[in-house]
Amino acid sequence: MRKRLFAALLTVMVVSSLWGCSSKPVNEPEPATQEGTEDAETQETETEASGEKIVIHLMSQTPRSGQGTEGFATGFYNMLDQWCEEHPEVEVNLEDMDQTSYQTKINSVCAAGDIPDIFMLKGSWATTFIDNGWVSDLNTGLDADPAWRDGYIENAFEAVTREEKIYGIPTQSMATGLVYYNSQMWADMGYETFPETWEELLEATEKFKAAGISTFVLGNKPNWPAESCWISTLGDRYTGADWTQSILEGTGAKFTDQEFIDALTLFKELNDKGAFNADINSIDDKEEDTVYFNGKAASIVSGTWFIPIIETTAPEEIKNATKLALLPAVPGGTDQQNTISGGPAWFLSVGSSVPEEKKELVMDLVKTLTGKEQADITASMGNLTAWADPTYDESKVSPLYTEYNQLMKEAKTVRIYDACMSGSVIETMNVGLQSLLAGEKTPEELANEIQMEQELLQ
Amino acid sequence: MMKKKRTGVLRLLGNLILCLFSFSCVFPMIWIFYSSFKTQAEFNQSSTALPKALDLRNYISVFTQTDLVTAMGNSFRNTIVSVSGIVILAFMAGYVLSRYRFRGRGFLYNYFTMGMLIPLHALLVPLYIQFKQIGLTNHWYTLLFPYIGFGLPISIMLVESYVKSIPKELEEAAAIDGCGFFKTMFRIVLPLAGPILATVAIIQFFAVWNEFSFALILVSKDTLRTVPVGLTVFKSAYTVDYPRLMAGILVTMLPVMILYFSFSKRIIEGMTAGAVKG
Repeated sequence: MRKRLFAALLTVMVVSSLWGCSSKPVNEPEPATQEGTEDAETQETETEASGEKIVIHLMSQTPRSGQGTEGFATGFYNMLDQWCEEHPEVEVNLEDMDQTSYQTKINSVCAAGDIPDIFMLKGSWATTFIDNGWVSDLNTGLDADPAWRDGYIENAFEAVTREEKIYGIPTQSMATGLVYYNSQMWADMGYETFPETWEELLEATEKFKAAGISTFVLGNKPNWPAESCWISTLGDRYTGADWTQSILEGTGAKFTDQEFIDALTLFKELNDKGAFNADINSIDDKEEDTVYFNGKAASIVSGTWFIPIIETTAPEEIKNATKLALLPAVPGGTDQQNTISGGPAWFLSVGSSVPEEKKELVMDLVKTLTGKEQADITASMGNLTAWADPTYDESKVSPLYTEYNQLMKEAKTVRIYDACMSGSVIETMNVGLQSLLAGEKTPEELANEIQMEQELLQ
Repeated sequence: MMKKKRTGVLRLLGNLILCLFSFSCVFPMIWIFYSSFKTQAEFNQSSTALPKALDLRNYISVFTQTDLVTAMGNSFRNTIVSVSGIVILAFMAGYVLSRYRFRGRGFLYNYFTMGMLIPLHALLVPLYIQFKQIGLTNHWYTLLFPYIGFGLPISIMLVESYVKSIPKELEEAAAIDGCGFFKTMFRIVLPLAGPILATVAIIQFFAVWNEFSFALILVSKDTLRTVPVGLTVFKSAYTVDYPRLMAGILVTMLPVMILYFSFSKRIIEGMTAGAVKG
């Protein structure tokens, strides 16, 4: 009797939990039209609730608290405020949070089928979001305004384009492998500019080592800086861009190819020669800034996000002495040595469940938030935009920013590994690079390990 | 004589180790306190140095530019209601489960405690879907459901095992004097179960106050944000304004610390009650 009761209760539990999950087929692909009408219905109720206003749901990984102090937040939210003023009939329901929280939230709400109308898409998530049908393509909107479409830097849409359909508009762009050097310290060692060849760099390393200064400081505790800031550029200097493309498409290129091993070897040798700080794997990417600011290191390879940090927080003499350069040409590399890892990382996307009648408004808002005006505001505060030629007052921004724009006119951007490759491969590479720097692995062993992870994908 | 000296040295050594240990616990608090007065530039130059001047800008910014005060109100409301709910429900369920033998008792007990086996993160998306469909998201009471639901299993288990240790004779005596079911439960057993209920309340207070995932996913209105979610706005895409974040942490920590110090004796008692019986 007791057993029977138990069985009955258990059945009730199981059935009720199943019913709870399947009462609305959110995870099953639905015909687009049906979903459209359904959303239109909820839209109607929302409209009534907020006094006949059309509601646009916007989610961003940039907290609004940065408006006024940070370039991108200012450009983005100023344009949003302006647009809202021009469209009193629309209520923009904004959800802003920091990047880590955003990543959890956007994935949860999309998996639950509750996709925001407009949201930020990270380039490396593109495959997941496109395959799941969470984003809609923006070709029609872009083609309707060629000035908007063609205003961006070269390859701007690369990360979010699948079969010629574009799924996002770049909002910011960046470079990760930029050399920041203290020109005063280099001048003291007899270098007027940053070395342009690897031999010169190694020579300088000897001199700095004798003086008790690290040539470079690297805080690789969070394990992405070595890969994102160094290997993405050095790797490409040996392999060329076609190899990276081939890795991404799975068409022949291997991490065990000699070119990639050469890049790892070069990096390991630089470390073995004492170019880096000794605590390379135990300080993080914030602490490395402090080491550079204290004058204990002559240079640092970091991303463009470091420009505003120098501007706002570096001691005056360090700020004035800092100059920018590309990494020196590597021995035995490809012909293309003026490269730097970079490109847009975040894109503004439109959710796939936006009803037809709202689409035009949504596209208009997307255009406002990513257009030239936004780019100009962002640029005038010294942040990087994805626009090819933003207008800003050079005297009002950091000299480094202008120097960067000059530098990039002659440089070519190549893909940042962690912005395009699969997460598991990157994880293996990142952790492996820590071991490589600690002398626990040879370049060949590491290359093998990464390749094994890569083969699991195919 | 020699022996005395040696124990003296040993004691000193022991104390020294304990002092170091206490310092490692207290230092983060002190560090957060004085760092909150620094500017970002000062902090980046040296993260441990003392501030050069008493700069209150971070505090002003916390109160004027962010909604931390609203967030604190929300956190307090969620915590107080959830913890009271957990304590009352866990006490009633735990009492009945430990005192009465009825058909399905074993099943019911296992059903409650099974809740402890479910990892919270596995339920984020399904729970979000259900809440969305029922229309439970974005209300002031939204978070109470998961908080009370997830708080109950461990609490019921603790209460059940504690009540078992209270002599039954007391209740029998009460029954002879004409005490009914509810009166026995609330007038006789409740005061005796005080220590374990304090334990439950403390454990759940910390769990609910610090909860992040549900607060992030189930609620999206600014006006309903809780403290852990509210603090994340100090991080921007590439930089973290640490001194301002620390000012925020301190402001939100203060009420909890005042609570802790005013009830510290009770809290320690409650902890040990839980330690023996749990």
